[in-house]
Amino acid sequence: MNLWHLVRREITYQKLNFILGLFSVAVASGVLVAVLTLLESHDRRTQQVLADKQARTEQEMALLEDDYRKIMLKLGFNLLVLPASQSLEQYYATGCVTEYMPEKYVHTLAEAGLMTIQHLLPSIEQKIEWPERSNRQIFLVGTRGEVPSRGPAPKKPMQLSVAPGEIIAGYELARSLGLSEGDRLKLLGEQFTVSEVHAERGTRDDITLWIDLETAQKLLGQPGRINAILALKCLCEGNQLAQIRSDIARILPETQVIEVDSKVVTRAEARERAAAAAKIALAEELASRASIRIEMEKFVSWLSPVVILGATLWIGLLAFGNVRQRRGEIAVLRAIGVGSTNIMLIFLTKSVLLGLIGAAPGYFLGLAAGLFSGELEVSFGAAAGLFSPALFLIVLFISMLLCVLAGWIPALLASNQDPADVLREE
Amino acid sequence: MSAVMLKISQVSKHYRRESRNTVRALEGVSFEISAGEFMVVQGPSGSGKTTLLLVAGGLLVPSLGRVECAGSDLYALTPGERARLRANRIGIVFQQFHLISYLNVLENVILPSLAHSDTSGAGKRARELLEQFNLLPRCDHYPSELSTGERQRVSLARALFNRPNLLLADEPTGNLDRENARIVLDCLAGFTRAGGSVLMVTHSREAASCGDCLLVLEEGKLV
Repeated sequence: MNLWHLVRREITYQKLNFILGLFSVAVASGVLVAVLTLLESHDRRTQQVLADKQARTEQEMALLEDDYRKIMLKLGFNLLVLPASQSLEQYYATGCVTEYMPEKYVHTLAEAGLMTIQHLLPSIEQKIEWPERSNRQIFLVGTRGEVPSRGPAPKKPMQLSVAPGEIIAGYELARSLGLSEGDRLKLLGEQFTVSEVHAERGTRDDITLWIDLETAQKLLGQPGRINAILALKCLCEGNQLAQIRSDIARILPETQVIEVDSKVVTRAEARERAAAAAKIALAEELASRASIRIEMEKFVSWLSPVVILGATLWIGLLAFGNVRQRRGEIAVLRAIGVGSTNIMLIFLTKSVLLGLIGAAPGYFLGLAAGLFSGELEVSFGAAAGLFSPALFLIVLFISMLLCVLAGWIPALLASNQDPADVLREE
Repeated sequence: MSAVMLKISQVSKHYRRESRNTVRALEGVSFEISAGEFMVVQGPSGSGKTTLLLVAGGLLVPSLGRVECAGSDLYALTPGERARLRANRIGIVFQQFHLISYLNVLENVILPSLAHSDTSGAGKRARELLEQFNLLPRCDHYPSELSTGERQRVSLARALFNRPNLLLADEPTGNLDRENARIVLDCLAGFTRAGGSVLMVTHSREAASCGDCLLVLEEGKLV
């Protein structure tokens, strides 16, 4: 006969008491595991949702870009008509047109009435040194505004002309020279009044001065000549850029046509906006799920202690009841010479068993409850993924500890019980 | 001359209860029991018989006086030492048997081995006792399945399990019929013949007549 045998036989005999204790431990550990599983499954689901959303966004962005491409095919192009003799290599390298063509070309093109071109803007430009400003290098552009076309009437004519005697300054020139609207300045011997200062564009426009075409032709010694025609909002359906080029080449054989950066810029902007929108959507989703998690944590923070405390008290009461019920037995054990430490061990061993045996099914019940009420898809794989050996051992240990704590006072009472009190009651 | 197994010297036990008068359960009781002696203390209910037995068994600290068991001053020992002495020297038989309901007959008899680290031979010893008390066929039975006489015999076997020198018996025949009472009393007498000492408290004249020496206890005093 040993203590273990006695404990085992008592448990077998007092099944209901032990089962009630096991139930309490299983419920307490189950609730603890269930809420932890719920939080874990929420976190995993959040990762899944964000990953899915990210993947979906990337797909949507790819589709969006394609859509923009298609839409922009219908929106049209910005084209630049240059003299045929202009080296494109030099143009792309310097950003400046150096060859000239007759100004009448713009009229020829306008008269041709191409249905695909809405606005025609002739210009002359040259990179010069500004003698009145320490020979500072600038771009001088002469423009005369839109030349009416016989093609489809634009909804709103473009007003890009500069009045004679006036000058428009680029941002960097104005900033560095302290120019502002209304200022008077001298350029190549001519007096001008600053009519406008452009906002920063981050291009060569920031060191450009715009004056009227005729004055520019005179100042640059190129009367009646231009070196570029900007054709804006060229309407094409499908891939008709080649068709437009062909049409212009037919009308103006001494020219060449290039597409300026409208599509590329627009597409990049669209992509950036879509990416920003996707980023905001992801951040909102993350914030929303974080808010749900906080709510869950609040719920868990009061539910878990209440359940654990309740179960501990209940186990303590059961242990106390067990001690009361076994007063005669304790008295006999004392009478036959069993020491108080051994009597305490009898009750504490039972508490340890209660904690260990109750916590194991409690853990798996909690895992199942957390899985079924959580956000993950219920499957064996998901359950296996959520199973944590470390948590299992921790739950076992905590349950055992709580049971020992709950049973400590009753065990102490049992060990200190005066056998004479019981034996005299006969 | 036989060795003194139990010596009670001027033992008094008073129960002090709040707002009640002090109960003097024992008052200046003195006697001694030698090895091989069967002493009976007789008295009416409430005369202090059970208190005397508990004090003699080291289970109830007396208010005054001294209790020696096998030469040791019982109440000068620590509780642990007293428990060990009980386990090795003293066997107790209760009127209500106090068998443990979830243990079978064999296990109830072996129960005192809990107080010992060496339990080898415990089963053999228990079977010997059960055979002696004609209970071997009932060794797998639970107390609830036994008759009153059988329960008292199991209780007696349990008290004898550790081969004690002193047997304390509290009304051991109080709940038994004449036949079973005779079996128990014969057993106690046999125990003394083997060199053991018995202190039996009873209110039964018939049981009292079996002892070598009879003390009468009235209102806590020997008369």
